[in-house]
Amino acid sequence: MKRGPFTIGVAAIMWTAAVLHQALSFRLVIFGARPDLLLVVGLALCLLMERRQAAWVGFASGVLMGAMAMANLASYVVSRTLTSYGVSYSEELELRSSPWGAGAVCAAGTILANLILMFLAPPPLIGPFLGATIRTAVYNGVLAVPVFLLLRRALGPLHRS
Amino acid sequence: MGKWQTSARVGGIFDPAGRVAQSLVGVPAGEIGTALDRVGDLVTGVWRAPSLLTENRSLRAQLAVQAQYMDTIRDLEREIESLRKLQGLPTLAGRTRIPSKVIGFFPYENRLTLDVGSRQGVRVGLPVLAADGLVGRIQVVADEQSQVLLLCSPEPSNQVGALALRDPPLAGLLRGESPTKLILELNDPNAPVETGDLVVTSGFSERIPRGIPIGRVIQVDRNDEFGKRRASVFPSVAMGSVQQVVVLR
Repeated sequence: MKRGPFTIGVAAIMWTAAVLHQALSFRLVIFGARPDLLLVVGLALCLLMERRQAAWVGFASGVLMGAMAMANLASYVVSRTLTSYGVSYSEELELRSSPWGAGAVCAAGTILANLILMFLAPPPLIGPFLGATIRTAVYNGVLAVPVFLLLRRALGPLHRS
Repeated sequence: MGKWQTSARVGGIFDPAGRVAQSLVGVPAGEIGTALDRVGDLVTGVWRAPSLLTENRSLRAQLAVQAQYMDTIRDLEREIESLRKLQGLPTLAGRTRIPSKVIGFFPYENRLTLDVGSRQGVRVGLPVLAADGLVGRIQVVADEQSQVLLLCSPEPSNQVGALALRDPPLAGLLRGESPTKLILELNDPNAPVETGDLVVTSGFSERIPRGIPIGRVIQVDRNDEFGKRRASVFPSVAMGSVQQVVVLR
């Protein structure tokens, strides 16, 4: 795929994810677990990209999330960029062909992103934060399976450089 | 970037990144939310049509009865206001209600985004209420949107004057700790606050009127070291499930 259309496509996907996150995430609470749709889509994209592109997706995800929440942008940007870069390393596990593997990586990525966030912007109570993180990770992992399949089909056969 | 954000927040406005994100993301998200609500209402309406009709009739009857008292209440309010003016006291807060929809919830940041802003008369510091009680206060305002800092936020500046409803009421300062726990600090270490007591706003503020429910006391600790009594309060509003709120102006 050519670079221009690919970048525009990824930007459109991230924007859609951000809109859906803001519109839906607090309506989709199950047993206290709240999905992070922006993170799910961002991490699923990272599985289909080379590392540098994945880091940019993480950066965009962090900026969008931090700006929407009026939170500290730097903590979101750093936590999501590092996580996205790390997730793109799962190429070696050949997860691109396995949606279930993608789900597991997204769940692990959610935990990693929130742990980094926890160190950069410590929440007042660690216990509830970790509990919410685990619930969100499970939810994100389940959602990542169809999202990954959809993105793989939408973006076509991408090749890492 | 952080300093940029903080100074904007302190000034009660969205920072440039937040403004761009809210206009690019918040507007379409709000439209999607409205559409989803309409579909949900339609399905609920079809599913519960008979009981809704009965409920509607009953509510109309209650409204008609209530309307008879509204004139009396308005007259009394006018009278109170003119007496306050004669005494040189400021006008009472919380007269105008600005209905609003929640279009974003950020649990880690303890913030809600509302679909009303300065064009609808929203200002920084105004209290935000749900059906069950106080939700928080407006922290930043844009033209068509605003963000609420939830009552449960542990930010040091996020304190509200509160009363534990006993006879006489016990006044203290309430601050957030977590979504399920608020802390009420009473200056009297022997204050007879007890588990189950209702906690409401004290009204010792220009903007937040007295008597808005906050929650119920679930635990009482004595803080001898600081000569205070601390009560843990379970908030009456489930912050994550609030969808319709009212901004009191």
